[in-house]
Amino acid sequence: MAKKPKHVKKLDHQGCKIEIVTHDVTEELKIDAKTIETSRDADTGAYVSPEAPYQAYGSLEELGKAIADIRQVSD
Amino acid sequence: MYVRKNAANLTGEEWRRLMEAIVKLKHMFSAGSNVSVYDQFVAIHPGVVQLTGAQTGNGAHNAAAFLPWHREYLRRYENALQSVDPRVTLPYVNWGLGDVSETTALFQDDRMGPMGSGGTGLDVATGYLALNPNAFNPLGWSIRPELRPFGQALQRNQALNTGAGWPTAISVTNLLIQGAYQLFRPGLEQSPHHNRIHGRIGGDMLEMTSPNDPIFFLHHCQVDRIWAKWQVDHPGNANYNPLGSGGQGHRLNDRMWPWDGGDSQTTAVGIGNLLPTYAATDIVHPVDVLDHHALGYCYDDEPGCPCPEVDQQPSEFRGEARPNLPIPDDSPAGIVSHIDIVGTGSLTDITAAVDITHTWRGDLQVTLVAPNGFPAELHRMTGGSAQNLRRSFSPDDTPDLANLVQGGVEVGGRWTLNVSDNAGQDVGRLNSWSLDLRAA
Repeated sequence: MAKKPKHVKKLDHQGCKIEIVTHDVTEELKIDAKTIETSRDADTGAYVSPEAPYQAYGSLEELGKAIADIRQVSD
Repeated sequence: MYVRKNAANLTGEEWRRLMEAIVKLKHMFSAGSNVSVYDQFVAIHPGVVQLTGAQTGNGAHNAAAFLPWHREYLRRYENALQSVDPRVTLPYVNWGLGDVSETTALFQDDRMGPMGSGGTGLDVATGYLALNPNAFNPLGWSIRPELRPFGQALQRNQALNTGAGWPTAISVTNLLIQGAYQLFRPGLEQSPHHNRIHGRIGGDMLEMTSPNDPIFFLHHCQVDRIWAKWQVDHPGNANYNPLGSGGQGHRLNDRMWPWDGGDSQTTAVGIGNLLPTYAATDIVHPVDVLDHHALGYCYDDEPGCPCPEVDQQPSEFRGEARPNLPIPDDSPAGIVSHIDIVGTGSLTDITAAVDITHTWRGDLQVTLVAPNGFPAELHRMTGGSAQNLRRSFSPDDTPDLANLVQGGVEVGGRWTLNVSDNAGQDVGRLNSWSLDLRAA
């Protein structure tokens, strides 16, 4: 049986290629083809990442853009 | 019991004591470690973010244990400060009043130092926390490369952004009326509260190594204070994490890393070698820290605070013991006798008197140990063949007693006298000894 195809949303932000990959039951954030460590607030479900400490976002897309913003400032 | 005060109300002397204690921790090392006590505290914070073992992921953020974990973390940090200066307590930054002057007043050279300006434009360039040695801090304040890989100077934004999005009295009030912990906790942790303040101070406060900036602890003291306020209206264990969210490490009776008996380990890169060592029996669960009064502190504006401001009037305490114990001949371990002092206050004067019968005074070594474990040598094998040691010792003639006073040792607790005979043949006994203490 063929594997269920993943849904991938791609966007460019601050020179970074952001991908939101939807698997069967999970989501994955990639920036420039590398998976970003993410988790969700246990109570609110907000998306968080060690790459963007002290911030929480309503979607992986917002989180990905924030990380790209941080990388832009760091560069 | 001690009182945590609003940082805006600290006296100049209280600021000096706080900042000097912080600087001492930065340059103080535990036995066998080349990582300062302060930097060990810093390392714990990025360490808890990436755990493996019984716990996985983040053991202190974005889930229920955010508040109890940081309460325990602050308590241990405050205890470390008090080991340096027993008069120091951790102040809180009262953001959320809508009066930013309370916050901006912190950023002065003789307090937490300015926002960023020098070097990269973000470096804290003057005061106790400046990289370069100066009149406030002759040793300077530098950040270990493992705890931040770029540069050594502490960094903050160039200005404190207190505009839109700053916590307000209304936002804090709205938090306090949240009826459920699983609503209150994220409301306090996320913007416009805890997270926002990290962002507005910026620089090192943006990273998981944010305790590199000592203002971290004052910020989290306010977080803890708001939780304590909420707990007044929502008392008891039932109001902690009733849905059990957050998994292992976040539930009421889970062990919290690193006080978990080794159940979990950090996978944070470069952090493992910087951590302090905890005994396998040093275990803390959220349930252990829900009652902050039981942990020994309260906040200065709590209604009915059970620990009112420390009486600044001097108090006098006296204790006496008559052990009448023989002193074993040629035995460096010697004998010990105790006097328990009931009371509180920082030592301002001390007189210790001993009555020892002995046939060769030069055999004797006599040491007084304060309740916090600090030793004060009273007599060290002087006096040759003279008999007996019957005299009193004061800070004027005994440097170690002067050190106890200078350190403001807490008077309450068990004082111990150790008497030993360090040569053969002559013998004697400890008849009695006494302590006269003054405290403020």
